[in-house]
Amino acid sequence: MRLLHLADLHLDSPMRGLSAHEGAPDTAASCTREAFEAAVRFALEEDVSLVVIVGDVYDGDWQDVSTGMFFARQLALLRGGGIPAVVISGNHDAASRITRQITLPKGTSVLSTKMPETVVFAELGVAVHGQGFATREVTENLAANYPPALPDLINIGLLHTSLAGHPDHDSYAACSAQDLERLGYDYWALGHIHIRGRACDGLPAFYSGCIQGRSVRECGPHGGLLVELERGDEPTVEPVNFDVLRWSTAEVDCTSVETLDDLLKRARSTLGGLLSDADGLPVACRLRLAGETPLHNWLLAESEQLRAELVLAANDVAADMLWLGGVSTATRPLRKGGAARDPELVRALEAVVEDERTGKELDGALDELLARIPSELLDAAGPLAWLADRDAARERVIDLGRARLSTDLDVASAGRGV
Amino acid sequence: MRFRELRLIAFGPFTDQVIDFGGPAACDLHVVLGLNEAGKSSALRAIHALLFGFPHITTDAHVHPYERLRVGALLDTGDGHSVELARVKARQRDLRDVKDEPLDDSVLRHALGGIDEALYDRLFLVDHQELREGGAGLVVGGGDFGVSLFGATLGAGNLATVRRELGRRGEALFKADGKARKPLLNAGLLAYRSDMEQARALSVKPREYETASALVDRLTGERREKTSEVAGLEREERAVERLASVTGALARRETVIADLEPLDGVPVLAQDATTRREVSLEQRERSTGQLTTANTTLGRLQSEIAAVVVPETLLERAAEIQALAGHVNTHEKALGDSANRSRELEAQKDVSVELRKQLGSAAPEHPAPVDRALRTSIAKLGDEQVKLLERQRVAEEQLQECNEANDQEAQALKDAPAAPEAPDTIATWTAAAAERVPLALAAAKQKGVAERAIAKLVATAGKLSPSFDPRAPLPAEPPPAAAIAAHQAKVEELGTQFAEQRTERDRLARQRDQLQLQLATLGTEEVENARKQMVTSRGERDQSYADLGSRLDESDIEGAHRAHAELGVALTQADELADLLLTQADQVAQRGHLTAEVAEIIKQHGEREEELTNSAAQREQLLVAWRELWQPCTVTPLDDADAMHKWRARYDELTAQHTDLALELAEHQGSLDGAKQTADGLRAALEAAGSPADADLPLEQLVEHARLIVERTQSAIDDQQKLVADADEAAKAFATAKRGVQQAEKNLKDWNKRWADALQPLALPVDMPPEAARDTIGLLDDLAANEKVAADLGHRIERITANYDAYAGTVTALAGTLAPDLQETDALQLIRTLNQRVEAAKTAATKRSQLEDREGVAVERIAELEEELRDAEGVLSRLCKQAQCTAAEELPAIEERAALRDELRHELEELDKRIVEQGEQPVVELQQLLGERTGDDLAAELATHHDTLQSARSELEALVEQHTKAIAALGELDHGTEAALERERAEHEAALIGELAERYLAERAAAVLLTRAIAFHREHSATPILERAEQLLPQLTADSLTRLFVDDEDGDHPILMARRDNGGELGVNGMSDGALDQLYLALRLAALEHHLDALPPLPVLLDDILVNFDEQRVATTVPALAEIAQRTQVVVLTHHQHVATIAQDTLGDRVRVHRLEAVSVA
Repeated sequence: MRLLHLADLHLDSPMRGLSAHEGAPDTAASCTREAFEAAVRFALEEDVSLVVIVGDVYDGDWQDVSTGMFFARQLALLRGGGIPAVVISGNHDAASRITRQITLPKGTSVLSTKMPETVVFAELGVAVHGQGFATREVTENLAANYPPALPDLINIGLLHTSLAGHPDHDSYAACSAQDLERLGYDYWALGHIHIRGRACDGLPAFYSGCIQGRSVRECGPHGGLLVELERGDEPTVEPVNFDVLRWSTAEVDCTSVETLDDLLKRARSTLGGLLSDADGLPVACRLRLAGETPLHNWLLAESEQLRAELVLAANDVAADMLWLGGVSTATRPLRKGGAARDPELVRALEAVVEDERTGKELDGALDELLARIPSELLDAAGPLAWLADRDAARERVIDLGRARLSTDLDVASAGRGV
Repeated sequence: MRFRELRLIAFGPFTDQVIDFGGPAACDLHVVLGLNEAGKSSALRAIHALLFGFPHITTDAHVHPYERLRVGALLDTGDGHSVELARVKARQRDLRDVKDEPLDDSVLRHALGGIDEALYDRLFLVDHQELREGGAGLVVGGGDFGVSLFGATLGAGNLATVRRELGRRGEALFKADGKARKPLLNAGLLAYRSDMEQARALSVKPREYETASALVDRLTGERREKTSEVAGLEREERAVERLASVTGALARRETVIADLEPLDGVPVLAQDATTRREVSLEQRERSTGQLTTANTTLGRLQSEIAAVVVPETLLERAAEIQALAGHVNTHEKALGDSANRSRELEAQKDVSVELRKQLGSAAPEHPAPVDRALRTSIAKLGDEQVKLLERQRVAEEQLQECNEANDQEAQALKDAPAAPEAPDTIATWTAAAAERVPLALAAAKQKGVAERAIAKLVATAGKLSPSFDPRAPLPAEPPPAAAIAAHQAKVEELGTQFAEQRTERDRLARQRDQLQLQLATLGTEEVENARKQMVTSRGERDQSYADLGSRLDESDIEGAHRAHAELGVALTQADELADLLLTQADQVAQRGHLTAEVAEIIKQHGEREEELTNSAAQREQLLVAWRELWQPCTVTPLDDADAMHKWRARYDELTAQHTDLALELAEHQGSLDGAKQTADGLRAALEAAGSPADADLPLEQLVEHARLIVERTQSAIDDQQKLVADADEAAKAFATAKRGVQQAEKNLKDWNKRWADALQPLALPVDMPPEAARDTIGLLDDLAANEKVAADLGHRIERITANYDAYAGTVTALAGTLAPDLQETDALQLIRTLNQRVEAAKTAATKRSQLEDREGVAVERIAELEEELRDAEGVLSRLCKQAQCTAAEELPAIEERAALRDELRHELEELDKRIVEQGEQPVVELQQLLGERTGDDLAAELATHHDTLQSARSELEALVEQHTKAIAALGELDHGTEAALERERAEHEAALIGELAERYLAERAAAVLLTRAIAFHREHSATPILERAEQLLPQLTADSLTRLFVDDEDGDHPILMARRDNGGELGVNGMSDGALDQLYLALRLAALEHHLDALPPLPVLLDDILVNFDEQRVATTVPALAEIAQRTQVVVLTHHQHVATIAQDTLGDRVRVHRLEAVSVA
């Protein structure tokens, strides 16, 4: 039998970090929908036997029922093609009112969130076991209560889990490889981790990853897994890409770059490489400028112009196919004489950084700003998450201020005597 | 670290110039005098290049090309050692030692104490620009003690501007004021909130969806129920309709059953009984007739058979006779052929006799064909002899020709002149010169282009500004872009301020005018009139009262009534006037307010006017400072700073172009010089070879001339060599021809021997020529062939005669048995006759056989007809039995009754079938359902049902419409991705907010850190610097300012103040530009000395800092510099001779003066 394994659709979730500029795609919001439509189309064209969706169909904090109506329409298409679907909720679905509001079409099995549930597809010779999330934070080991494999059937387990933990994802429904292995299932379809791949060595457990990358943290191709299953055989797993917009990051080596033209030339080359690696999809990317360059001060002082120039460079490479999501400047100044700095300035800054009054003033500035910033922008996924931890934020602000001051002093005295 | 020597080896206008600073001295003070400014500035850039490397693009390669630029130095590294090094222009390994080997950068880095270029410039380099910025910075900072001291300490005189810029940039990004909209971050936050609100507005709320979904569910249920009800009614209606539709059929069914009753006893016949009956009767009649005709035909055939006779004996030998007859023609032809062959045999014998006669004794007794190999061998030998003889003839002719040619070539060689010497030297120079020609031509052309470009460039530079003299060379270095930008910012700020003030002033004027107009409408005349009317009215009222009293006293009731009425009128008028007066009184009060307001506005208007005047004055001051800024480069700037900003960019561009063109020009000149050297070498070579060229010939013609000489010489040498080669060739040809003749003779001798061997088997004479031998062999072959043919003919004639004799014997024997009448006939004729008799016997036998076949057919036909007759009788007999009758004639009547019965039964079946089909129930049930009802009864029932059904259908339609609308409404709730798109836009704004917030916090933190750092410095480090500056200021101002002190030292805003020589106090705002320069320099030098406590002693470079100092101040300042020079090397760069003179006069040998010898640009 042929199984299409999907997870983490996050329908209508926005593309994060794609700065507002003239070239940015207005239709980025529909990317997740288009990706899911592509998956459904693929299932119908390839005549798969079963589709499983392992959690996080919606974003939990988003309450637009249109999203659910879209999901239901797509599942109805699968039903029209005679393809059953099995869905479990994940941490995001559990908190979503859409999940409770929308009635999914017949032919779609939504597994219980109270206890593990098994759906048997006799004509396929398949049993699907799974349990969805009842609340956003499920910390118990759900797999511990899953039933053992049913004899004479292909057994598939659905689980939204971080397994033993993942650095980029919250820990939910944690369990060990042994917990999965003892049940003797033929295939474990896992969700929650947005990176596609095998979850445990020697165990038929796979993450399909998210269906569409939504930020620069989710670079590279995304989609689902096409799984060929025969009783008693190792599953054959083939990744299938459904994404419609590709995220990428790249570093532009600015070492010894002395003019803006040279820098843009290197940037164009880097951007061209990103585009050629993207399977013909449009690319949203973030560039990091690095290396020791005499342009360092200019890059810091003229970040607006730099961004504008890089946006134009991206347009040169491929207008409407390449969007610059951000630029970070991590270059270093060219220090021909060495690294020693002004002793008086260093002494004064070190003293004032430790001064309580400095901290209070900076706290005041942070408070003024935070009072106007909506709380969601300070969330973990928000662009100002780094401000949430006051001590760490103050440290970073001090670093930013020192760099700014140093640059301004150098710029102000540049060209003297020559 | 200090300079012992600075070596300007190849840099800017310098070539191999050395500034010798000498060894360490108690006072290490040096004045470097460059009489033109370019030389001084170049020296300063050379020091920079030496210490920190060349910039990627340099303007100092106008004399020396990039690859030759080099600055060297002998340095005392400060730890008791010296190092010689040099810096070249290269991307890598640009620091070199004395052997020009790459030197590790760490050597210089160590000597510099880890100070980088930017920090060195800030701390150890003071130039005129910094003094001006520092002075201006003191004013911008309002003389703030902390800012001034810290700025001087950091070498950033414009620290106040930096701080102000930080604040300005921060405010441009974010303002905490809730009403702020303009700053970028505030605008971004507003946009974000707006996008999110829009997203929420476009979202389908779960409650909305729930309501719409519940309505759809309810209507779905109701629709389902109503649909079911309508379906039930429709079923009932259809049942009655079905019953009505079968009522007629049920009646007919009863009639058919009654008609069937009398036919009950009629026998059942086969379906085809009638057909079979008719066919059998017809067959019986036809068979009887045909049987009679067949018996007649059979009798006739039997008679004909008896009449035919056949000879059987002859037919028995027919095959043998026909075989013999088949050979008759063969034997006739063979007998004829035998006669012909006899004649040919005779002719062959005659030919043999003739051939033997030709061969004579060579004819053999039993001739045989000559062996094929022998014949071929003799033929080849004949051909070979022809070729050998031809070769011998040709070899002898060649020998004769070669002999003659050999004699001619030897004579020509003897007559030729001697060969000249080889032209190698000229050729080498010519090749070198030829290579140079295109380069030299291109260089000459490009040089012209470059010269024109330079001329155009200079002309273009002249158009940069209306005040720019196009005849002058490029101006000196203009102010830096940062200074222009700073001025531009000030102008813009002032412009904005001016515009705001003017707008406010105009607004106030408009407001004033409006109020004055309003005041004008509130005149006092109306009030006065109202007051007068009021007095009159009061008089009238009093009069009316008095009149009323009089009338009452007089008891004049009628008069009292009139007076009362008049009093009422008077009172009413008084009330109206009182109201009018009150209104007028309000206006008067309002006028008072307006008057006060107008006065306030007029006052504010005056203040704005004053501010505008101040702003205009500031703008004038700014323009003065702007022009002063440009003064050093002798350019009168346009007021438009943006235009001058572009002018400066254009200036940089043109300067760079100028440098490139100069470099290009130098390269072309180099190419031309190289070409000239090559031409000189070529001329010398030509002269040495005795073919001197005209001295005026250009290089390309000189090359052509040299090529001609080389070609001529080489041609003579080639001719001589060709003669020698031809003579050798002729001698070789003669020897070869001689060997050819000898070889031909030897070959002929060999052939004679092989010829004799070949003729020997035929016994032919050895001297027989090849042609005769070939003819004799031909005759021998012909004879052998002829005699073989004659023998074959004889054998064939004998075989024919024997065959015929055997055949005639066989034929004669046969005739003796079968035809004795033909015994005497020729054998061939006899067998022909017998054969004809056999053919006649065969024809008779065939005829009898055919008659017998026809007889058999007739017998079979009679038997068939008899069988058919019996079958017909049998069928009729069986039909009568089924119809229960005795004769076939009774059958038709019985068949008719049986058919009627079958038809009625069939109708009954059809009726039942139709009734069940239409009634959709069994007949019995339908009969029961119908009962006693008639068709009319059923019609009435149907009408009632129809009305009920229509009503239910209408209700269903209404429900369907409601349901459809509800579904549509639910579908319309789906806004697709609109909400998600708004959310996406909000995310875009969020990303921007993230970036802007980071930038804002960086600006804000930088401002906080700077402010705090200034305060820290003021508290911990400023005192010693201030004390030293206090000592320096009187020196630098020649005691015009006697003291430097801090006002409000213990307060929050300590301000730097100076005391004049007349005892007055002076703040920075009151100081002249010169005094500000000197104050900043005092602070800067004090800070520099302070740094020397913590940093390694490095050379201090003072570039034109005394340019605005008068001679007295120069004289008092140089001792202060000498004090610093006791701690580290101090180099004063100047292009003013008087500075050097005064320094020497003041300090004597404590100062050393060095003169730069700049080479002017060619």
